[in-house]
Amino acid sequence: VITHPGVTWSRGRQRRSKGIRAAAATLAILLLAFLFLAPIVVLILTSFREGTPGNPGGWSLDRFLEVLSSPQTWLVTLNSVILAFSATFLAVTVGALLAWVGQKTTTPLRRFFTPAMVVLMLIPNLFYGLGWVLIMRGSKSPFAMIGQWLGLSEPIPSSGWVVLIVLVAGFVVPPAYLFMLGPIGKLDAAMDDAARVSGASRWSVARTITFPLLRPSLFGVFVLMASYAFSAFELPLLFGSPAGINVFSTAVFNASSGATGTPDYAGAATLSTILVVFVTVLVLVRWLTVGRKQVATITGKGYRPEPRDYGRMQWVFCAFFILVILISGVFPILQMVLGSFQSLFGVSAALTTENYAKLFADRESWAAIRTTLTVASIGGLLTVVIAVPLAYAAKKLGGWVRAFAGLVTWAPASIPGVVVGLALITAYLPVPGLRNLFGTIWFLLIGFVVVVMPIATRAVEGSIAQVSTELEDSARVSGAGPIRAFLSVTGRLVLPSFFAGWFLGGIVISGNLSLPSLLSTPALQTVAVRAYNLYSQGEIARAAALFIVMMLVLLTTALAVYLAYRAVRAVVWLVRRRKTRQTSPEALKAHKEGMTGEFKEEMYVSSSVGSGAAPRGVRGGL
Amino acid sequence: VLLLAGCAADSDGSGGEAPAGDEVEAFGDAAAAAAMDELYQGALEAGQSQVVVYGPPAHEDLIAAFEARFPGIDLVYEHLQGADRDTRLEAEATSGNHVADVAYDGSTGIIRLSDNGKCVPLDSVYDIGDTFLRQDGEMAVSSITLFGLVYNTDMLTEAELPTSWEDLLEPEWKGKISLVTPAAGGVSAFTFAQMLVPESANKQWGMDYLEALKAQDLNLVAKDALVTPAIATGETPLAINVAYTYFKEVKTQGGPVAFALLDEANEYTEGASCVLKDAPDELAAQLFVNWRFSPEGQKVLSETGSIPVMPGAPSVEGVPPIGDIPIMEILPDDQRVQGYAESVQKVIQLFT
Repeated sequence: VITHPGVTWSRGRQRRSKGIRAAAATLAILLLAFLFLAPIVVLILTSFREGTPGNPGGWSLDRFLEVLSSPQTWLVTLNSVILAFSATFLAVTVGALLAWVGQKTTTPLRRFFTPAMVVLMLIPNLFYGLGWVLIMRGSKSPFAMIGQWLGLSEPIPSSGWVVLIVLVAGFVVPPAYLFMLGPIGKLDAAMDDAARVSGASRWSVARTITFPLLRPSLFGVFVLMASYAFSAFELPLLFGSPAGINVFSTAVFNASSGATGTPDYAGAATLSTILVVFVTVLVLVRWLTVGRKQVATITGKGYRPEPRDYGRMQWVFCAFFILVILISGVFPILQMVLGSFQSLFGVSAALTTENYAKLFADRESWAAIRTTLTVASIGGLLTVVIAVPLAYAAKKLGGWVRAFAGLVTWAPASIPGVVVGLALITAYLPVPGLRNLFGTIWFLLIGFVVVVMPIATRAVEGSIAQVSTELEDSARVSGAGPIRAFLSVTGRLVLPSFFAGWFLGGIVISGNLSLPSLLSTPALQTVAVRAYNLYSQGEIARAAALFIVMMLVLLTTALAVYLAYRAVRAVVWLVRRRKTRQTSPEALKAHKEGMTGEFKEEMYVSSSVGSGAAPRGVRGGL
Repeated sequence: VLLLAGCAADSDGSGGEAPAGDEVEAFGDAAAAAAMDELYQGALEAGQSQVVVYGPPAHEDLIAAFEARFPGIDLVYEHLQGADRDTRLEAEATSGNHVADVAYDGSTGIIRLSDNGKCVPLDSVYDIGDTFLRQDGEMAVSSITLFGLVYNTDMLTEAELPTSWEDLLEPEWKGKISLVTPAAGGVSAFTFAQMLVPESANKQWGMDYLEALKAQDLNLVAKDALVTPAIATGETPLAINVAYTYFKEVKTQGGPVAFALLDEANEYTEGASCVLKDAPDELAAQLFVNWRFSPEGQKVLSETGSIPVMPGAPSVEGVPPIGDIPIMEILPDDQRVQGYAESVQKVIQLFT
């Protein structure tokens, strides 16, 4: 019999707990292996296969060795590493800084930081890239006008390393900001105060307290964003290729698209395998350096995440925020809005609503909007529903289960979409039952779950890791079972991250192009595919109009969901308050006396942190 | 329309078989109209209400014309080419859930599908001839797309244009030429590969030429569709390897652009279709591919900028007859897939 203050656990219950833990571990491993490991293994094996995937063919090392020995392979690898690391470093630094400014200072406009970043997240990369093309290129572009106004003899460069890195970073800043929001918001100012009282400088506090606490999250977000930057395709093509800078995704795309006459599946798979190795090394380095340390910043008593005034410096912060949102969205969006009202994108001086009129009359575009909303909402939800128990199991079980989960769910992020689609088809089609799902919405949803899982995992993992186990232990000590303890403590605390993961997953799904092009059917065409078709046909202004309508639909949906969420919370709060008032004072007093003093504190903290924006009356009621 | 026409024929006591004058004009003659009607009625009776085409997106006028001619059958294009299309077709075959009816692409891609046993012969209503119906009747070429120069008319005059590939190496063109990037394969890579491969009569330009061209600070544009808009906005005054269909789109919308050809070795591609094996809407697919060869189909193709292949079909406005254009020679069908692979690879490496 195990005894704790105020509670005893029987051996039977202990055994049951172990059984549940073993079952959870087995389930987690099987799910991971099926969803993520199988496609990666298939992908690696394809490097050594002759013929098309899924068909009989021999084994050969020739193409694998040929690709590895080509100087071009290593040139594009070097370019990719430079681009991914530099753009990600810039984006995560900017994102983390803005997340800190938004939550820990009283900077003007700070309440607009998160809504602005959420809106910027809605911009598809093709749309963002084309907007910048219009700004920078052409004899009548804003850049050309600025050049003339400044009297420059040479045009301002519109491609090359600096342009590419800044624009890729500008595109990655919003997700980096949103991922850093949770970890930075939960930093305890009392720790900083303690160091400052002890005589430490601001820099010293940042170096010895703030940064070490944030390191796991920072590194995690860095690895995730770098993984995505490795697979970035449109932006390097628009701003790197004109200057002769080619990256991995371009080479993989060329190999798999049959640019050389016949599709080179083995070559594409070999290049992708190199990417998988890169990401594996990154995730392992993260795990070995910071991943094994448990960092909990939401504890029981005295947790006070309060913002403070940094004086005139806050105006600099505000100006920096404005600059970032101009680069990351406002400038390209304005250009695209303008372009959507031109009959010839970027050329016509006269404005027209013709593109919108054609769009509203186009049945395929409306069908695409409906399909996108369906797959984005269901796919995002499925992903996060799998991600929460996986991240929780990884934290609870620790060790190699955690490392395995981190590794396999990360790899799909770095592989170009077309190869992920290829790997999924090759891995899942031989499975009876699953095979029949091909061409249905379910196969597409499975594909999206795999692709979006790294984002969803990242969204919930940080919050789960930061919830101190003492909170759940308190619930267990008070007699709650493991599932109830998880749902009532960790579940409530990660609820905001759950919704964030759902939303981010949905956004990524709605903008994904390559996966639906391989896994969907004409009846399941998404907006990204429809817009890409219009764009490929030279109908860029109509593609811009479609993107803008889709962004407005997404924005309206997000706002409606948010308002519904707030309404439900308000109703729950009212019901609870009524119940509390109906409880007799004697019963309430007896109930309180039955608890240990410490656990009362824990309950207070868990409800206040978990609710996030909880009405003050909830805390007062408790 | 055909159903209504049939009703009209019944009501005037003519026996219900004679096609209306409109159909005779659209399909060429009464026999062709009757054969097309048979295919159409067969498709409707079999419940085939759509034709799914995997290929580059079609011009909306083409879709509208087909759907107006054959009410009840939707023409659905999905943008799938190359490996993406091949992978999807393999997956459909493995799962048993067939979706695609027709593949449309350049002839090299369709030859590969035909060689791999993915196509069935066209049940041809028209006398297409061996030149445009190849691969044992499985590959039907209904139009040709011409590639050439596009220039900004505010920045260049016709007299200033280059007339040969060598002219492009002149110092005056340094930094002033746009083209779709050969690093992504496609038309630029294929054209340059043709300039390396010794076909029977082609002039050989060789790698030295391509290296000198690359040294002209080319503006490599990401996608075909973005090249003409880049010229219209004045990004550079001149572009090479531009499809006439993309140029026409921008010109129609009022862009300050014009199209021109070199005096030697211009590039073209064949617009080829094949009805896919196990197509779920095979009758509707046969109807669609045949319609592309009908006088009406050929007229619509010419209006969208593709050069129709059937005798008597209207020419494309602003483009001389294909026989009068000096074109770049291409290897025969049976050598094409493998014959250019190595050279395309070299071109991609040069521009990567």
